[in-house]
This record gives sequence, C-alpha cells and structure tokens, in this order.
Amino acid sequence: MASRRSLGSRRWAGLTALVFVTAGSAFAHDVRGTLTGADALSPAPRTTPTRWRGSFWEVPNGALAITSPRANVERDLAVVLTGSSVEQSRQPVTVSVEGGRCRPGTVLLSPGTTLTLDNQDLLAHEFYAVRTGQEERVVPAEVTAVRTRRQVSLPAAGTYELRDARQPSFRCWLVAGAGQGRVLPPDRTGAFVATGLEDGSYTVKAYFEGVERASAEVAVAGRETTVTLAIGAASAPASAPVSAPATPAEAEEQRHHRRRDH
Amino acid sequence: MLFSRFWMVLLVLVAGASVAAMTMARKTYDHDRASDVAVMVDSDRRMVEEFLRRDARTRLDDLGPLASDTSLVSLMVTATRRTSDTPAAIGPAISTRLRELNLGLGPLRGEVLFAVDPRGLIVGRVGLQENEVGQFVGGLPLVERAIAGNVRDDLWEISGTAYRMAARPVISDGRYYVGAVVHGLAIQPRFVETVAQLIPGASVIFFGVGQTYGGFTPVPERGGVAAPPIGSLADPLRTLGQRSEWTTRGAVSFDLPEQGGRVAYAALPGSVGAGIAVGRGLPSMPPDFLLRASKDDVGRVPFAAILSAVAGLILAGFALFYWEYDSKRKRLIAAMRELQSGPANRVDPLLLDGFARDVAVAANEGIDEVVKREIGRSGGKLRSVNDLESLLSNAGEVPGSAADARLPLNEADEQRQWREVFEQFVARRRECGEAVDDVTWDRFSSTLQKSRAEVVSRARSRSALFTVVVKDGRAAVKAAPLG
Repeated sequence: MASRRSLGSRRWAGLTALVFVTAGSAFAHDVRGTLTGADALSPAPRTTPTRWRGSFWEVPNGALAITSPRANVERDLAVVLTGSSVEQSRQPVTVSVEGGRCRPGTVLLSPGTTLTLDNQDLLAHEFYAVRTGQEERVVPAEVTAVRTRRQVSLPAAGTYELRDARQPSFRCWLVAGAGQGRVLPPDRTGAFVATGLEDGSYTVKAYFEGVERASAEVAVAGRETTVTLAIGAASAPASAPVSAPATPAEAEEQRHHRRRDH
Repeated sequence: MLFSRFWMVLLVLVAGASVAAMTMARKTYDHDRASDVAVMVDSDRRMVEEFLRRDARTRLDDLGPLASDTSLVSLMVTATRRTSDTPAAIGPAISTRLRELNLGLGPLRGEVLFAVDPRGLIVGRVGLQENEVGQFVGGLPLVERAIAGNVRDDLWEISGTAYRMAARPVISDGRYYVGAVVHGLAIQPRFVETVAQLIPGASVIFFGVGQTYGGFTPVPERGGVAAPPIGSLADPLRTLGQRSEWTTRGAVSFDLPEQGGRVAYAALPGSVGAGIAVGRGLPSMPPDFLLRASKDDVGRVPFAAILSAVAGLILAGFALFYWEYDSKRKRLIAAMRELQSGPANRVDPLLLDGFARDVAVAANEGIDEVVKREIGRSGGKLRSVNDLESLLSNAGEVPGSAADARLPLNEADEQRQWREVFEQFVARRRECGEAVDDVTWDRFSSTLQKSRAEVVSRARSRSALFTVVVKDGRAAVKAAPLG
C-alpha cells in the first residue's frame, strides 16, 4: 500500500511540474535581431611605440589591391540586452582572448566586477589597461601565457582599453558601468537572439571599440519579436519585418566584391 | 753647468718618457682596440639584422608558389564558401595538401604551416597542433595583414620556442582573397650557429621576454680573444629596459667590464618582443708583449734612427761637459776663482796649458810684484807668505810694489820660509793622520831644492814658491814659479 501511495504521489508531482513548465513556456518569448551597417565600421588605427616594428616586410602582394581593415561583426561588435527582467552581468565575467582579440571586442561589466581573461591564443600576451584617452595604467602589465587565465578588476565606472605590451595591435575595450545586461553574441551575418524573455520593454545596444553605436527599444508581448540595429543610422522600429539574411557564403562573396572594388 | 745639468735632466726625461710611452702605448692600444671592437659589435648587430631581413624576404618569396598552388586555392575557395561555422569538413583536405606542399619547400620546410580563411579561422594545419582547425587567429597582425592582401613576416613565440613567421594571401582567379597561408620556422640551435658564422669570433643569442631562445659562442682561435659566453650576454637583459637608448631606439651597446667584452642588443621586429645580442671580447696587450715580438716586428724598428739619436745625445753631452768644465777658459776661470777664495795664493800654471798657462804665469808675476813692492814699502816687516793676503788686499793702495814681494831676499830668508813650509807640512800630516816620524828637515829641504830647480828651469822663473796643501786627504807641497 505504501508503495502504491508513493507511486501515485510521484505521478502527481510529475504532472504538476509539466503543467508549470508548459505555462512558463507560454509566457517566455524570444527576440531576434540583426546588425546592419557593421561593414562600414573600420577599426581605429592603433598608436605603436616609437621603436616598435611589427615586421621586416609588409608589402602588397602585387596582384590584387589591398583591402582596408573592416570590423569583424561576430568578434568586434558586442550586443547587449537590458531590461527589467534581465539579470545583470554575473561575477566573474570571463572573456576569451584569441587571435589578437577578445571576444566580444567590447566587454560590458559592472564596476568592481572581476574580469577573467582566458588566453586561448597562439601567443602569450602581456595585458595592461588604461582609461580611454589616457596612458596611465590602471591595471599593470603582466604576462598571460598561452592557455592560462588572468583576473583583473576595474576600479571605477568608465571606458577602458585592454592593451598588450607585446602586440600594440591587440584590441579589446572594457565598459564598466551600471545596468549592464545580457550579452547577445552576433554571428558573422550580424544576427543575434535573446531567448526566454518575459513580456515587457527591453533595450538592445550595439558597441564597437567601447562606444555605443546603435540602440533600439524592444517591446515583447506574447510572441517572438524582431529588431534591426542599424549602425550609423536611426534604429529600425521593433517588430519590423526581418530581412532575409544572405547565406554566410553569399555574405562573404559580397564582402570580397566590396574589397576588390575598394 | 746649466747646460750639462740640463743634459742630465734631458737624459732622465728621455728615460722616464720611454717608460711612460711604453705603458701608455699599451693603454692606447687597448683603448683603440676597445673602440674598434665597439664599432665591430655594432656592425655585427647590423649584419645579423640584415641577414634576418633577407632571410624573411627569402621565406616570403619561397612561400609564393605554395600560396598560388591551384589545388590549395581551390580548397580554400571551398572553405570560404562553406555554410558551416567550423571548417571541420574541409580541414583534412587542406591539411593534406599543405603537408604535400610543405615537403616541396625543401630546407625551408615549415615547422608550422596553416591556412586561414578570410574570417581568420584556421582551415588547415600542418606541424604544430597538426590538423586542429577552427581556431581564430585573424586578429594577429601577421594574419590580419595577410588576409587583407599583404605579404608579411613576423616573429612568434609558441610554447617557449621562437618562430620566424611568414604569411601570404591566397588569391582565387586573380580576383578574390580566399584567405592566407602562414608559415613558420623555429629558431633552432643550427640556425643560431648559421647566424653566428656570419660574424666569426662573436657570440650571438636570440632572446625574448624573460628567456633566451638560443645562443652560440665560438671557440676562440689560438691566440685569439675569447667571446663573452652566452650567459654573460643574457644577464643584462633584466636591466635592458632601464637604458634610454633601448627604450627609444631599440638598440644599445655597452661594455661588459667583468667579462672583458662588448655587447650590442637590438630588438627584432615581431609580436613577441624578441631581440638579438652579439658580443665580442676586448683584446688587451699583454705585459710581456716585447717578448712576443717576431723577427718581422723587430725588423720594422728604425734602429738606425734610434741609434743616431742616442749617439747625438751622447755627443751633445760630451760637448756640453767639455764646454762647461774641461775647456782652457773654464779651467783658468776656476783657478782664478780658487785664488780669489783661497787658500791658494797663486795660480798653479802646471794645471793649465796653452794661453791659460800664460795668463796664470802673468797673474802670478803680478802678484809677486805687488808683494815685493809691499814688502819694500813696509821696510821688510812683511816677509811671510802668510802675509800675502794682507799684501794683496792692499795691492790697490801700493801699486807696482808687490811684484817681488814673495821673492826671498837671501838664502837665510829662503831657509826660513822653507822652515815655515816644513812646519806647516808636518802639522798638516798630523791633521790628516799621516806618519811624521820619517819626515825630516834635511830630506824635506833637499826635496824643495830639487823641486825649485825644476820649476825655475821649466818656468824660467827666478825662484819657486812652496805652499802646503791637503789633497785627497793627504798633505802635499805644491811648487809654483816665483819671479
């Protein structure tokens, strides 16, 4: 008898949980978005020390025109969603460093948050941090070997540059301030998605090199919502029709044509 | 006096200058060699840099055929047009083709070789972490610039080993960039030795931040200067950043006093903060360098000129000494000064010759005349030789009366004078500690008579004047013509 009662209570408990999950799913919605105009972004040239030389030779190939540096959408841009039901960035924030970049290129975090730099690069780095536009090191230089981590903490709100004493070309920006939300990593076409959002108002922002380049208000109300973040132009209204994205290969082909024309 | 002394001073100066010149020559030699080595080390450093520059160009050029291989380009086009995020499907095919092409590079076969798609992802890999694809490297300056169309080199450090990297873009149909190939050669001991052979006799190290990638110290040739060991080149790396030349120019050179060497450091272009150091030993002249002189060295010494100079100096010394001491004029002046200062009352003509003797005889005659006149005027009271000084001092007052003053008036007077001389002689001998027992008046007067006769006949004088002198610590009687 006891075992029958126990089996029955388990069935009730499972049924109750199923009902709650179904109900929750009915109120959670996704926001899908697209970044446009990112191809127009060019990385700002970096100031290199006087004696620093990156190579003996850097010459054009002689057959095809050199392409100008372009922003890498999936790595250099950061999309952040903020809103009443979005959790703030968690402690510690871990940033992957690979290929001479951190991903995302702009890291958003709250002041005092511990930032873990995970060096997944081929080469060792010697990171230090300065406030944008200043040269005083707020985080001292220290070698971070390949496949090791280093934890740093930013003292106050503001925009910082994470630099590499060995490679002046290294790029990474840190934005410390209140109200940082959920990071939505874009893919190479600029598409991003936020899942499991409750109904309400949200804000989506795009950052490049530590600067907010686009933002849009999103109202989630009972269905999937789309948004287009147009960099360099006014943001498209929420729930606007989603333009059919090109396949990755097509997008790459288009980029090649642009480079060639350039 | 002055010139002969000057000559002695000159001799001392010459001797001192010779010793000083010998010492200074060693220092000058060492200093000049140190300057030469400083120039040489800087030249070595530039030569190594130029070699590495040319080496980079060679690697970039040799990578050209690989980057334009049609099979590889075709595979890269496929990788670029893939729809998946990861290149796992095409990766093995690209890696295989890269392996085949790498073998064809011969001595430039890369220890690291990979292909990167336009997004900066590795799509094929040979060597280090072989076949691992999908890693993003597009932000590294070498790859980023190669994807953009540049031919570029770099220096990487992977797992403690430095790699000379080179990258070229991969171009499809002459119209599209479809990625890049990246090639790397490790800085192995053999490569370091090859570099060191460019600058024989010098040590070389390749260094990075906090470590040395490789080094070579040559074995010194027989009698050659030993180059500083690798460790002594690596030691100053810790404090290199404190040198302003290093921070501003990326190159600095300085002495290593403890190792007796000179070293030059130069930063190498690249992403790891690497550099090279070259060092040479400072040669110094050994203390026994004269013993090491060869026949040729000895043959090059201008002995004729040196001997001529020495002979000239000796002759000049003799001439100065003769002029100042031995000439007739100087001897006469000395005799006159002796007469003036005493104790002699006459000039001894036997010590002089030529015109000086004539002058001495004339002077003696003058003195005698003064004495004679003085005696005559004094009525014979002044008859002693010991009165000569008073006579001579009054010579000016009694002109023409002292010429025969010291001439004995008669034999008894002469005997009396000789007796005084005898007594003075005995007294001087006692003073000088000589025996006086065998000195008798008879023998003494007999000797004086003979001596007077010789003087009279030789100097054609009327008599002889005897005085007692002490010479070389012994009493002696000196005879001089009189009258």
